[in-house]
Amino acid sequence: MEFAASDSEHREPRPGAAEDGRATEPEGTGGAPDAPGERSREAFAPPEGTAWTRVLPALDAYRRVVAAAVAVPCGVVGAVAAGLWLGPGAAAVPAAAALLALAAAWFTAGAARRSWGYAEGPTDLYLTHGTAVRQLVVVPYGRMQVVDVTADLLEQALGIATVRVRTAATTADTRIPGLGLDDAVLLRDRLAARSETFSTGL
Amino acid sequence: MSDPEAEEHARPPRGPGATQGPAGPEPRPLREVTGPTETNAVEQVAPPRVDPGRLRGGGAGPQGRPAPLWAPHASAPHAAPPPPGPPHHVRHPPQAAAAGPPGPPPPPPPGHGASPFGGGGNVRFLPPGAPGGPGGPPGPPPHPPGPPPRPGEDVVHGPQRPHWGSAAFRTAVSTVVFLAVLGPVLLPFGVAWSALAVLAVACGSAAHAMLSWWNSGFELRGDHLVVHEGLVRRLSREVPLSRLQAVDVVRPVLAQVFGLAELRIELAGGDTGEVRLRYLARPRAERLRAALLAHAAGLARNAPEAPERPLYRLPFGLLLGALAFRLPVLAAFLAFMLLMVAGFAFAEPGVLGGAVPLLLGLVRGFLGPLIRYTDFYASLSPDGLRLRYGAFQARMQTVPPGRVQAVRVVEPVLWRSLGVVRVEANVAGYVGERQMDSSTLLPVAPRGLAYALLDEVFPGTRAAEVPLRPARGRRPAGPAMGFDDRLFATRRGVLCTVTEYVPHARLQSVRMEAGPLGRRLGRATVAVDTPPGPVRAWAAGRDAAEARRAVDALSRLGQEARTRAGGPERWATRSDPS
Repeated sequence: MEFAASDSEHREPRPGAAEDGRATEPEGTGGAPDAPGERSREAFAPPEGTAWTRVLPALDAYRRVVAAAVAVPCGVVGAVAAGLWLGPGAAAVPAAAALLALAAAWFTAGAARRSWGYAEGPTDLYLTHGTAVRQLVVVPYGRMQVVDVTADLLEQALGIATVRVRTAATTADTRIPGLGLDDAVLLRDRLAARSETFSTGL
Repeated sequence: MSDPEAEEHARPPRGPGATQGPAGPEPRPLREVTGPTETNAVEQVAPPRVDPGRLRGGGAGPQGRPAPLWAPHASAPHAAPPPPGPPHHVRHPPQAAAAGPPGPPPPPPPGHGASPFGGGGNVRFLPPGAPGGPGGPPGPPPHPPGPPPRPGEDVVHGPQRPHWGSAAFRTAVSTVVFLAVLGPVLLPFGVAWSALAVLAVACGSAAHAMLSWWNSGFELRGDHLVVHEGLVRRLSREVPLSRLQAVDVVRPVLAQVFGLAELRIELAGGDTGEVRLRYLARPRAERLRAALLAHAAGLARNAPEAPERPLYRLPFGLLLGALAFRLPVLAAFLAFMLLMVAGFAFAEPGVLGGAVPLLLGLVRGFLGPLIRYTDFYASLSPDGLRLRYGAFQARMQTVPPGRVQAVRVVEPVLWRSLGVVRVEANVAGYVGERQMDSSTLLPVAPRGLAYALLDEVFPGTRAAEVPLRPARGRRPAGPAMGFDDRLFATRRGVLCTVTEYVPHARLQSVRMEAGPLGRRLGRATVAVDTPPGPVRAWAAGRDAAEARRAVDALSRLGQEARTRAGGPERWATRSDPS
């Protein structure tokens, strides 16, 4: 608990800056513009004049703890059940599977966290995330109906929060996890204020 | 049963309908009504007591842009080019007329039962102006000016109660249900005992129904509709009329017997966003519906029922033919017949395992829509698109302008030869089951008419002219995406072509996605989020750079459209809605 809090505090100054290589790509790319991969990467660039605001590294810890909280009980229960039903040899299979899943979640947590980013354009909120399937979501301020800040117990312990934006479309899950608590509240207030300014019925 | 019906037919037509005369018995399709008959249109929108607000934009839009349909002359300016693809294989006169070029109206078909199956005899919810009762003379001359509309009950002021018949109706329903469920169990005890039990149930439910009827009520209070109900748990809801999305009048079979109707008021916001007033006398329900819509539009609450313009009547033959002429239905029917033949030939009851699900599927996919959309009639009026349909459960649905969030045109492969399509829409306020229930705007309609409706539903747009560009490396008729300055459109589907349209003013958020393979190939998917419904506009396999340009353009166009449009509240009072 304590180490987590201090850890996040320790890294607090980071948000807002383009902290890793990916965030600064749009300016400094040297690849051939015609390469499909390059085109694709450029397509997910932040809107002109802005840079992706990345989320706190504490999100890594959050994802790892959640993954462990799911994988360990599953592995244990699976192993015990398999051991009782099929003999001790079979117990290794679920345990190994759970361990593998945990390891995958553990090592991809960083990349997944680095893929999150948001940018506040003049009329829309831009949001990007996803490592396997990359997404770019553009939510007009005028369409935001509710802006929530949520933080569950673990998030509170890590000092992070999730900002969730709701529009009339239920298909779009628009959220930004891993923001610092104060940043999240400020972002919510900014978004709420702008959604008032730009508001137009449904 | 036919009494209220006959009365309805006999009722003198109200102002707007009186000009219907020359149209002949079959309501004329949109193109002819709106095209050359300027005077007709003017008369149509000038009922005796019309509020001047309704006449806003009494002419073509200022810049030659067509005024919205809810404005009187809606489509006069764009009557000229009929949308592409007039059906060549039309089978019924009404269709031919619908897609034909604007010009002098064709001679009215003889007799009012122009529908080949003569379904006109039991038309319910016949519009005030459309002639055609069982005894209606064919092609009546223009009506003489009828007597002024009856003042009618005041549905606008003071607290009101549902019709007392609703208590009787509920008693009847619970008694019938009791009989149906427990009747067989009771009979062995003897007739006398059974009768006593039924009597007890009837008395009990009557007492309950009376009490709950006495305790329920509603009132129009300022901008709100206040509804209270409930015997044990009192429930009082105050509904802001500015959030009203649609108003339906529904009449289940049994309620038709009592001459009652249910008023369903759809509101924006979740599954509980529905208010049902059960049950009102039918004329009262319709007046209250008009009052609510007028109020939501920002007009005086006692404004007369908005005049309406006939758009389309679906002949039963076309409905039957089109519903049957679909690949899944034909295949299911064929499989069902094969199974039954095999079952009989080999005396094998096991085929029922396959036949019963097939039969259920047929009922759901063929019989259900067939019964549901019998007597389908669509018309346009300043307070929205009005749909009347259903034989067993007669419904009158009104979708106000600006509440349609997105529309799709569905064209099963076999229907291409018929030249007909289905039109579905996302309507805010219809959620969950009701969305599935009520999202169909036209079950079967000629292509040209469907696009004409689209132009009316999204005023100022030309859906048929949105440039659709196929994805790179795909065949020209394949998946495509495009947008102009008002609409975003996508097309997809191999066997069943689905073309979806979302106006920029209605899009909620824009998304772009690229999976691992797509990133390697430089492809991405563009999607537009709208409120829930059958329409999900997305286009896969677009070039990544193009996709990003589209996303940026959509966000810019959306912003422009929103600042131009304002909200949909009180639409009739605005001078120039987008």
